[in-house]
Amino acid sequence: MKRSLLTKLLLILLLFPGINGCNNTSKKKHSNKIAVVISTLNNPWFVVLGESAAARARELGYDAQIFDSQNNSAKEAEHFDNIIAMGYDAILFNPTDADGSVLNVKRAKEAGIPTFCMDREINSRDAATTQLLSDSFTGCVKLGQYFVRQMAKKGNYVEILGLVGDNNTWNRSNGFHSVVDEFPGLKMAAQQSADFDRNKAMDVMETIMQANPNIDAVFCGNDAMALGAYQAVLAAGKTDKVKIFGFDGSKDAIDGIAAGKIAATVMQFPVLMSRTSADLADQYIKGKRDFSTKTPVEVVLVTSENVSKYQTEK
Amino acid sequence: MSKVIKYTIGILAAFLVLYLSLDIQNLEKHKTASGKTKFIASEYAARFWNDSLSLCIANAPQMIDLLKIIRENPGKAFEKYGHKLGISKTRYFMVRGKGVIEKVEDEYLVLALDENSKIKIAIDFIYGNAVRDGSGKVNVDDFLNMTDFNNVSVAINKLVKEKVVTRLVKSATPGKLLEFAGAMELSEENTDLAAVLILPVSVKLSDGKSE
Repeated sequence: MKRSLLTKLLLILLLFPGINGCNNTSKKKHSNKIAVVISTLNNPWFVVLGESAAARARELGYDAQIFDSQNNSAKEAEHFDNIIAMGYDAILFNPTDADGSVLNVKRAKEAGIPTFCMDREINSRDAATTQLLSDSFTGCVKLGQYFVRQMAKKGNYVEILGLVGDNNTWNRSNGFHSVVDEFPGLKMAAQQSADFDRNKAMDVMETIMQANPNIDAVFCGNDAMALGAYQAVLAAGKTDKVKIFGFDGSKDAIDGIAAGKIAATVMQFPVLMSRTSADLADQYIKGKRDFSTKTPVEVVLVTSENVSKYQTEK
Repeated sequence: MSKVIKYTIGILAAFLVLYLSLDIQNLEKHKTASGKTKFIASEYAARFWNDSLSLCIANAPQMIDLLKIIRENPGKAFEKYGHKLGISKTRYFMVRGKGVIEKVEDEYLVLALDENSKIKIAIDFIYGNAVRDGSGKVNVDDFLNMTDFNNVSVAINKLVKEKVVTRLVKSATPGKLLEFAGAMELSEENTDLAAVLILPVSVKLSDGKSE
């Protein structure tokens, strides 16, 4: 009788993991695989981010696979389903949506898979193991001050935004406006999204210039859009009048600054961010657990005054 | 074993399973943890200004001493007095000192600390993270997202303008003695002190004779 009761109690303990303190993380076997989930590979900046992360993971001895979310949160959720089912050791993650991506990261965490966010942020303190983020807001505060001085505190300008669901879009926009809005002589004639896309930015800028012929400057949320806006300004024959400001520090924008086509950009360091994220994932897999929730990565203002330093360096 | 004991153990086991399956949290704490409570940067900045700033000023190095260390051994100055945020080559410092106003420019005052040391006090472009990060009192991990964290800088800088700069601009004239505390940033890659601007968080002007 006593043995029968003991057996039943043991069965209860085995059947309910909550009682026996089962921990997915501690029991998980290493698969030696790291997943790299990127918001979109339709933009060269994110290609560099993804490929650098995967390359570093391979250098560290892991099998690394890149997943393209195509800026689609449903696609991203599918990737997480597959990654969880396939038992990856870690996820190097560039989210599509600051709020929408939180659930995916939480699901991975519950499955014992740590996530390391790169560049783009998710609105959660505890879902990701850590987040390495370009300090976009501060970069655009620097850009905003340069913008104000270049414009001599007056003129009409356009803002072309990136993806509206992305925190970086608003960090950049808010950083810029935290400076520029304090100068009443600077008037924003139009503000429109072009989804970080060069061709869309060209179309948006063409349309805006038709309605507002007296534009003095355009601030774009990334360099791809700045180059698209430049094409529209070039087609309108206004390159001498309209100053163009971007963000990212892409090679084309740096060359554009050197050639006098672009006024300024803010350089981010995707290779540094992605390689560091892979290093942190490796440290986690090897047992480290005390990570800072967020690690901002400094960005640098590039103008005609210092562009020569960045034409060879990245 | 009697049925009563068996049922009792069974009920206790079921209760234990049910209890351990639930996670009961305080609603307010849960809302805060999940970011549902709206963060008000101006309130945070006011608390920082009232509760933390005076201690930061008291612990800040004298500007003239810091300048000397930066010229002689920048690495030591960065390590001992500077604060860094994340992965960065910029260090932020809190400083204090006094000097005579030499010039009043559109964007800054030129202050002579002694015959060989001149610095610039910002009076127009009051932006950036020098005060927030120079204080060493504001931790990025305490914020839900970078927007909230950066709004703290915006709110602190607004206080700098309202409480310090507006009054300073009205009264500053060449020849006056200025006692100040403030924050500045300096890149590890460029320690040229001529370009450094100090954001003032506390100022005391006098005619230069009573000090």
